[in-house]
Parts: sequence; C-alpha cells; structure tokens
Amino acid sequence: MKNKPVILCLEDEPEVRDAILRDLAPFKPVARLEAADHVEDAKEVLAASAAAGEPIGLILCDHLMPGISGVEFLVGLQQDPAYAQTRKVLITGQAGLEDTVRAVNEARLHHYIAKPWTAEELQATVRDQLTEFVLATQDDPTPFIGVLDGPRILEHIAATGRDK
Amino acid sequence: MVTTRTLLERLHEPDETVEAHLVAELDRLLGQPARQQAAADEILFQQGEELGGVIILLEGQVKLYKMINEQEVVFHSQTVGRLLGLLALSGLAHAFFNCRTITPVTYLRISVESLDRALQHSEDLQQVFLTVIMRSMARRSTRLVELQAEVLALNKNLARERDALAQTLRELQQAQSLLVESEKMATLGHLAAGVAHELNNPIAAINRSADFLQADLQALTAELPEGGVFGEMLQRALTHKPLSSREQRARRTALAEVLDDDTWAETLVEAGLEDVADYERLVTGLTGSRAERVAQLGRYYQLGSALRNIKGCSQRIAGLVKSLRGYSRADQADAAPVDIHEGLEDTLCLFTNRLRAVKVEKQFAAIPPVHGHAGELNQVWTNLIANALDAMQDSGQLTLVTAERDGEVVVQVQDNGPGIPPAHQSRIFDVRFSTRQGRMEFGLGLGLSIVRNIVSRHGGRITVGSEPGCTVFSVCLPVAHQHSIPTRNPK
Repeated sequence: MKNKPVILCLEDEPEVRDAILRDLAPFKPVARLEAADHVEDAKEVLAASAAAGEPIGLILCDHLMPGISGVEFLVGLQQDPAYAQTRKVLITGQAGLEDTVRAVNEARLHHYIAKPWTAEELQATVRDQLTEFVLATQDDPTPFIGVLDGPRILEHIAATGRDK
Repeated sequence: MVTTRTLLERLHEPDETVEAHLVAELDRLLGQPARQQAAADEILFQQGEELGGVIILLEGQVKLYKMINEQEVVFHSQTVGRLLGLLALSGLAHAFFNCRTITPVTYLRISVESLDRALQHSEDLQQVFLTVIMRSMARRSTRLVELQAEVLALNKNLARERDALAQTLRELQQAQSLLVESEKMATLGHLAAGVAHELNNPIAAINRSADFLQADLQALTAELPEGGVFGEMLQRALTHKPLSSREQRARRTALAEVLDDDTWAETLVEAGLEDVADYERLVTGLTGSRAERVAQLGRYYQLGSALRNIKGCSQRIAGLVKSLRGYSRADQADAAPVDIHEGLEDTLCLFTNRLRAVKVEKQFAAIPPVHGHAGELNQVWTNLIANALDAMQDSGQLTLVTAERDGEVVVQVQDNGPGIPPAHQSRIFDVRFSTRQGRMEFGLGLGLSIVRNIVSRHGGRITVGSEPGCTVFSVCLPVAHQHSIPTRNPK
C-alpha cells in the first residue's frame, strides 16, 4: 500500500508512548505510526510526511508537555488547510474543562480519551476516526476494509457507487 | 431713683446690677408683685403650655428641657438666665421648653398685660428688660452652638465606634475563614496520608511482581531451546536507554537506506536493533520464515520493554507516594526538627505534572533543621510554589534558595512571571484577597494569609519583593526556636 495515512502520537513520556504505539499496532497494515515526544518533533514529522506525500490521518495528542500544550498545537494546526481533514484526538489525564472546551471550539477536536485508557477504547476511537478520514479523502477506500470499520466503508462504497 | 443710662451703657453693666434694677423697677411700677416659691424638682411650666406672661427667677436654679424619644434632653441649666418664658413672649405664646426646678426657687410671675403696662410707663425698664433679654438670648445661642459642637463630637465618636465594630467583625470573619481553610487543609492532609498509605501495598506488590517476572523470564531463557536469543533480547530491552522519538526516526531512516525496505527497518528499530549484523546473528538462532523470526525477535524485545516500563513507572509511583507521605506527615502534636530541603523536595515532587515546562533551579545551602511542624511548613512551600507557577502560567524559571543568616533559615521562592502589581502587594496577605477566579487546584493555593499565619506561628516572618520578571517570597524561620509551637489543631 503506497502513501499510507500517518497516525501521529504526540506524547512526551516514553513509557506512555510505547504503550499507545503498541495498542495501535493492529493499524499498521493501513497506517504508518509515527511518534513525537514534543511539539517541535511533531512538526518535523508533519514536514517529513508532507515531503513523502503521506497524509496525516489522525493525531493523538497528550495535553501537558514541555513548551506548548497539546491543545495549543492542535489549535495552531487548525489554521493550516493541509490538515483540515486530519482527525484530532486528545488523550490526556490533565486537561481541565477550559482547555477541553478550547480544544473542541478552536481546534475542532474530534474525540477525547481520558487516561488511563483501555486498548478497546483507544482502538475503537482510532478505528472510527481513521475511517472518517479515509472516507473523506481516499478515492478508493477498499484496502482499509479489513482493518478499519468495514461495514461502514462498504456502505459508503455502495452509496457513492465508487466500487472499483 | 436710678440715673438714666443709654442702652449701650446698660449692656456693659454686670448681670447682678441689671437684674436687680429690673426687679426694682417692676416692684416700683407694679406695686411689689407677690414672691412665689417652689420646692426642688417641681415643674414650673410644661412644653406647649400657654404662659400668658414671663417668670423672673429671683433665687434658685431651674433647667429647661424637652422630651425627645421619651428621654429628657436638657438644653439649658447654667444658661437659663433670670427670665423664663422668653420664647412664649416673643410671639409663640406657648412654652417651648419644660421647666423644672433644680433647687428651691423664688420667682415672680408677671402677666403680659402687667409687663406691657410697666414697660409703657418706664423707658428705663424698657432698657433693662431689653438688656436682660439680649443677654439671655446671647447665652442661649452660645449654648446652642456648644450643643451643636457636642452633637458633632458625639457623632464622630459614634462613627469611630462603628468603624471599630466593623473592623472587629472583619477580623472575626477572617479568623473564621482561616479556621475553615486550615480545617480543610488538615482534612486534605489526612486524606492524602491515608491514600498514600493505601497505595503503598499495591505499589509494593507491583514492584516485587515486576522483579519476580524478570527473574522468572531470565530463568526461562535458560530452559528454552531458543533461550539464548530470548535472553539477549530481554536484556537489551531491560537495559535499553530510551530513545527520543527523533532519534528513533533517524535510526529507522538510516536502516531503511541500508536495507532498502521501510517495513523491515521499522521492525528492527522497534526490536531495539540498529545493526543489521546483530540482526543476522540473532535470527540464525531462530527457526521459521523470516517474517516469523522477525516477529519473534520483536516479541522478546517487547516483553523486556514492557517489564522495564512497569518497573520504571512503579518506581515513579513509589516515589510519589513517598513524597505524599512525607508531605502530609502533617500536624504531629509536637514540634520537631524539620529538614527544610526534604520538605521542598517532597513538595516539588508533587508538582511534577506542572513543572514540565518549568526550569527549576535549586540553590540549597547547608542549613540546620528548623524547629516546627513539617506538614504545616510544607503547606507554606506548596502555596508559594503554586502561586509562582500560576504567575508564570506553568512556564518559566522557578528558583528555590535556602540560606542561613543571623540565626535564621531563609527560604526564597522566586519566579520570573509578570510580577505582582504594586497595588496588590499590600493586600496579598489579606484573607479574602485572590486573583484567581474560583480556580482551586486540589485545594492548593489557599492563600497567603494562611502562609503568613503558619510562618508567624513558627516565630518567623514572610516578605515579598516583586517587579515584572522577578517575584521573590522570602520566609525567615528562627533556627533556635525551641519553645513549643502551638499546633493548628490542638487535640
């Protein structure tokens, strides 16, 4: 599969990052997993992916990190049309109501996962969100049927008559 | 007979002369009107009574008063003068005051008609009468001015007393808030200590289990046919220095170039391998297809890194629990020697989550222990650090300085936030002063009034210096403060 969408996990604690990435391993056949431990690094990933022609499908972002917060990063990203279709998920144990409201209103946050998370919850969220992304951006979503939300993708294909 | 004088000359004569003259003239013109007597404390006339004339007091004292709110308010006693019923005479016809004798009195009662007749017959009487009236009026109006002044003074006193009462009320309210807040803090402290204690068991079990797992896995490697590779991968994972996400990406890119295969490179980096030769050596010890063997290597490695993460994280939790217990080692009944640095470290540890973007600089000098309550002093550090972090919005430099100076331990908490506006600086230690709007973090930042309260109970003092970019709170605590310090919650 060429130019797989990227799932970017922005999390500063290595143990937590390891755990998230391992929980996301089932998505490897249809997405490339990238990790960043701070916002500057995340920007490098965005640049590298852009250069390689890989779209950013989903960003999983912790809130509290050195430098700017996860919410700030997502808000900044919202200004960039290149990431208009990117699904944004906050995964955090620390965001207060104010930050969360801001993330929803200004960064168009799609989902919020509270730490500690369960594998089922995380995988269900990523499956749903990535399916949304794929249906919105991919001409041919067929290769994603096996790993993402198959029935939904099939329904979509049937409805749009794009079955190839 | 009396010599005739002008009115102005009369006005300069002493009271007695003028009054004697008045009585003599009335006696002469009205044929010795009868002297009347009254005992002490008798009413001569009452407010509103029709007087029909004047009373001339010959001997004794009376007072003129009014009843105001059922209370007798005396307007004149020394300033009555000899002539009573003056206001009635001047057109009101009814008595303006009540008149009561103070001592037994002798007086003349002269009707308006008689007075009028006498005045028509004697120009001299007119002068004397006028003089007496003018003097009476002058005395009474002076008295009125004095009364006015008295009222003003009384009002002022009242206002002062009212202010003092209001101040007392405020202080009582402050004392109450302090009590409520310290109760709240004490409750939180006990709660935290309880939770910390409860956490000890599970975290001890996790810690030990991780060690057992590691020992068992290592034993297992000796028994399995592929144990050599397993053991090496396990060991690599356990001792692997965690890579930053950037380093990991760089390795992957480098390997991908060598192998000309992105997926393979990714798998190797995830298995902690950066050297293709290493990989070749390790996979020869395994059986199955290449994909199977790579997956197997990855599993071994992941076992190790999961174990490493469990151990690292459970140690972190154990550290937090230890800090929490140290922190809330609160309120022992007796003051004891307190290691200030320990308290500061415990407090910082509990702030870990807010210190990610803060550079913490510790300038700790060798200082002697301070005599006091560790739990309460930790509240002081907590409040000061919480305030500093709030001011910097959790991003900037926090400097903690300790020093010994003139028999005192000085602890400074410094931030490079925007500073406290000068207008606020004098108020920040007030109970109700707050710049945060209903924002309370786990009951922290209770306010500097509590901080000051705790510091002063330890015989110390707290000061603040602030300008934009530098705010320093200094707490000075006496080193040799050996007498007992009252606990906040005497049991």
